[in-house]
Formats: sequence, structure tokens, C-alpha cells
Amino acid sequence: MNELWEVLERHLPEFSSGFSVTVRLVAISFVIAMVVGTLVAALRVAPIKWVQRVGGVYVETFRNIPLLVLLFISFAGLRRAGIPVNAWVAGTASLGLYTAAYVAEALRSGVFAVSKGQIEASLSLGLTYRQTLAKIVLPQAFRTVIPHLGSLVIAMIKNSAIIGVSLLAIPDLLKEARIVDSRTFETHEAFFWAAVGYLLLTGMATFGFRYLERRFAIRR
Amino acid sequence: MGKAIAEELGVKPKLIEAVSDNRIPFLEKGTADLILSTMTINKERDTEIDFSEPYYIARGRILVPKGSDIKGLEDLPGKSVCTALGSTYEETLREQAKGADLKLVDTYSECLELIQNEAVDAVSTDDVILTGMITQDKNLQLVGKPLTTEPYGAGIKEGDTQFKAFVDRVLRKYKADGRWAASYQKWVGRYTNVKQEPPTTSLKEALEISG
Repeated sequence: MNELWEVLERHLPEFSSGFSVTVRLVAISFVIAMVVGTLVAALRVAPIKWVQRVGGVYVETFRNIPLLVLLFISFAGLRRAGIPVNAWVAGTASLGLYTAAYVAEALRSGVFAVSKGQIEASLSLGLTYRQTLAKIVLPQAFRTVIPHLGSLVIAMIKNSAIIGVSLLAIPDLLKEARIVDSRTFETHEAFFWAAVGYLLLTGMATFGFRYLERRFAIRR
Repeated sequence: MGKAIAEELGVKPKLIEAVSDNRIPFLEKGTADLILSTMTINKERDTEIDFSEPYYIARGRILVPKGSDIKGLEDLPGKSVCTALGSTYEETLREQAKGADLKLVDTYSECLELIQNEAVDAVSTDDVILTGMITQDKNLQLVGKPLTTEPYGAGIKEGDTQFKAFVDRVLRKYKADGRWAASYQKWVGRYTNVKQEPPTTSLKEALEISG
């Protein structure tokens, strides 16, 4: 037990810097995932066939490429092609766009949960398609899918660790733990604290989404 | 060399690929019985495992693309430098090139990819690994003076003195009967055009050199 605290105390700078890097990676990716995910979901439920298809292609592309491969393409691939993206842009864009595909699917299911009658009523009252989507459908869709979005965010927090082990070599929490491990051979202790760090983040996400769920519960 | 040791033992060697970061755990967990993995003998590792007598003396160098403004160690601060997680260079660079931005990856082939697509400015590690990269990409070159001396030893499970004595005996024979020289010429010498004799440094001296 003492050993555990000793390792944390001695290597607090590494762990805290890794933790803050992971927080930043997750925060930026989350914004990208929500914004792009919402846009793609809107495409997916548009009344025009080819627009729907564009959204479908996005979802299938980003959902079917493993994140590690996506990271490699967006960093090494683009750089080879002469586009000098930096590791942070490649990392957050990959994680954000990857998660966006899942967010889009979640929202789409939420949209289908809004009864057709409401949409018909809204359109017949003279609201445009865009107004119907923004004022009637999406707010309800968001509410229905809050629990699902919560699991996606938790998955995203854990997926962020892949950025650190990839070619991008961003010193996130897992990477810092591995650096501590490689220097001290205190493997159990180093990974224990990394796990605690991720648990802290996923725990906060869980509580945050529980709060949102209660706050925006649809009272039927 | 691994084959020579296995042959002497009368067993068929099973080769497992390891990276800098996992080779010691491999030995401790019994995944491997012997490590031959460009591993520098140092005191920190010596507390975890046992080492054979040194079988090769590598020198730490810096690799850059031709035309780079990095001419040596003193130019590294402010630049990004790639090396492997868990290698001795992590510490060496932290001490000797303060202010350099270290990119720590799992394998040196990742360092090669990073320097080729200009995501890092330099790679630093043992000369034998860097010359391997130059054979793949003629646009790369070594600069500056050697930073470190890295005596390589075979890793043996801590406390297995019998196996260590055996490995040392095989290595002595391997160095003496010309097999060492042939292997050196085949893998290193013909790329670097540098002649080298088998190392005579003892394990104790090696531990002094690398600290």
C-alpha cells in the first residue's frame, strides 16, 4: 500500500501532466464529435435521398476503420502527402470524427423515437423543415439519447489512450504511466494510477450525464 | 549468436520479438529465457536481471536528414527527438540535451517513419540501429560525436548463475573462433566500413561505463 503512494508522490508531475493532456484530448475530441455527429445525423434524416446517402457514407467510413488505422492515415499518411498536420490535430480529429459516426447513429435513433405525428403537425402548422428539425425533433432526440451519448463519451475517454500508444506519441496519461514504468519497473503501481486517472474521468462523465438525464427527463 | 547458444544447449531456439519496454518483463515472466535485444548493460537493469559479459559495444549517435541544421548534441534543445520508450536514451537525452522535445515511441521503425515524414527533427539511439535506418533511407546521416558508450549484454533471469556461466562460456568461444567477426561484418561492418574487434570489456567495467 505504501509503495503505491510512494510511486504517486515521486511521479506526480508525470501523472498530472499526462492527466491534463488526456483531459484536453478528450475535451477537444468531444466538441468535434458532437458538432460533426449532429450535422451527420441531420444529413441522415434529411428528406432527400442523396443527402441521406452522404451521411451514410460518412458513418460507414468512420465506423469501419479501426481508430489506430485512422490515426496512422491522418498523421503519417497526410504528412507523406505533404500536408504537415501536427500530432494534436491528427489525434483529436481522428478521435472526434470516429466518435462522431457513433453520435450520428445515436441521434438518428433518437430522431426516429420522435413520433411522426409531431413532425406532420409541425410541418402542417407552417414550420419549415429546418425549423421542425431544430425546434421540435432534435431537442427531443437529444433528450432521448442522453444515456446513449453518455456511454459513447465513456468509450471515447478510453479510446483516447490509443492516441498515446500510436505513432503520434502524445504524452497522455497512459503514455506517462508507461514512461514511469519503464524508468522504475514499478509496473503495477504505474498502471494502477493510470487506471485511477481514467476512472476519475469516466466517473465524472457518468455523473455528468446522469445529471443531464434527470435535468432533461421528458415528463410524459 | 542466439542460435550459437541454443546449439550449444542442444535445443532449437524459439525467437520472440520484443521491444525495449517489454523485454525485461518477458524474462521475469518466463516468456523468454534469454534476451538478445541490443540491451545496454546498466545498474538499474542489473537489479532486475543478470547480464552476460558484454558482447558488443555500441555508441550512441544522432541521426538527422541530410541538410538538417542539427550538427550535434548542442543543437538538440528546441528540436524534437525520437527514441524508444524504455531505452537508455530517454534518460541520456533528458540529461544531455535539456530542452529537447522527446518523442517516445514503442519501436525504432516508428522513429524512422517519423523522421522520414518530418514529424521529428532527429532520432537518437545506438549506432547499429541508426545505420540500419540509413541502409533503408540514404537521405539520412549521422552527425556529432558519440554521446554514450552502450555495452550490450545478454539478459538472464536474476539469480540464474548456472545459465549465466554457460552463456558467458559460449560467448567467449564465439568471440575467439571468428564467428563474432563474421557476424559483425555481415550485419554492421559492411554498412559502416568500420573495423571492430570483439569487446574485451568485462561486465564490471561495463556497469561502470554506463552507470
